[in-house]
Amino acid sequence: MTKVTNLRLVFLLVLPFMLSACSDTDDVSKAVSSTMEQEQSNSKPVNQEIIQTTSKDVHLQDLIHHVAQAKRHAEMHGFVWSTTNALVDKGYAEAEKGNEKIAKSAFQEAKLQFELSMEQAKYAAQHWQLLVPEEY
Amino acid sequence: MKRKIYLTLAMACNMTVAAPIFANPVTDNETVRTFFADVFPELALDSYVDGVYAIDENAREQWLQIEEFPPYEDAIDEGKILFDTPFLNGKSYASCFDNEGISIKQNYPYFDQEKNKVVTLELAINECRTDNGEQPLNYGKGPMAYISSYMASTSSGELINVKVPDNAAALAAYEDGKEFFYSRRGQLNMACATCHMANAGKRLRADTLSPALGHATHFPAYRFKWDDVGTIQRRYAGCNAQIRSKPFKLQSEQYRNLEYFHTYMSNGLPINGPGSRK
Repeated sequence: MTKVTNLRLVFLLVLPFMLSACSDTDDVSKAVSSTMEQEQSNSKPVNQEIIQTTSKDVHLQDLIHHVAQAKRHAEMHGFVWSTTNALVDKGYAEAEKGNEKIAKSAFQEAKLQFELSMEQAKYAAQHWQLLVPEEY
Repeated sequence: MKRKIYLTLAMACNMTVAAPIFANPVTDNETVRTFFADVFPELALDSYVDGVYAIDENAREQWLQIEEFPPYEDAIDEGKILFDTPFLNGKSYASCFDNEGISIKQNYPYFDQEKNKVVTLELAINECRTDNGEQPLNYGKGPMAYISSYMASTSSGELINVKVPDNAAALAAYEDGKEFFYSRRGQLNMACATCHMANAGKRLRADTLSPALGHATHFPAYRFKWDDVGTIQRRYAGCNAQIRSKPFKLQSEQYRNLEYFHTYMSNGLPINGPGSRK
């Protein structure tokens, strides 16, 4: 009987620690989720950051001009991505509706994709042979 | 001694970088065959005509059952009707081709030295039409794919015999096709070779990737995804779209040169098109 009482006493003494451990776990999960959020925000594509920082400064017409230029170059190289022209179309559509911020964002993304595809073309021109099997 | 070793290494590096501008197509084919012989040591060369069904046993069983009632038969029949139907001027497709268009598929694409370009079978079909005052057909599917299917069926069992003549323009076209095949493109940064050479036989989601060797033998192909037959360039466009690269126009110079290189790779393998594919 005394043993059982002692055990109860020990249990009551340990309980607050157990509860606090549970609350620690919550904190940890909160910390993990906040870290994940932070990572997610850090892992946002670089281009999004560029858009956010530059879209305020660039005039829409200038941006459209740059996009058209980048598009011409990218098409000349033959490495245009299938995702890019849709962004250009979106840019024009939003500009027509008067949504300048969204239009700029779409044009910036399109410009970046055209530029990346040109980089890809340059890289391919210099390194395509890397995928050729070696001669036996 | 050390200096000699460094010099030899440096020379070897230089030799690797300074590869010949125009590789020898015959050597290319030997290299590709040896590559695949290493990847699939138990696969006989002729088995490559079955594409992915040569290397995926489970898929092969289903495919063989499908081939008992081939889904492309209607396309061949329709193609024969179209092929035999005279143009308004009374002539027919037979008047445009060697051997009246029968059993010639194995020689396509070829490099036309007068036109200075690669001519594919589908391009020749449309040139035949326009030369006879007819409107060109849309490339890729429909009547064009049916006529091409019929012509391919008349070549069944013939060995692919694509020639790259020893002249700069033909070699440049072949080399251009080769560069396309091995160049990474699209937002996913993948080349034709990424799937069909380096990863052939491996899985991409639920599908096994087919080896590039033997691709050209069974086109036009009936694809269940298309629910119809389509040409090899339709497949190129589809592949390009899948890697998020803007596809080129069918029968563009890029795709014709690619088809030239890609078909040359399968030289010596028997035509078994049209085939059915997933």
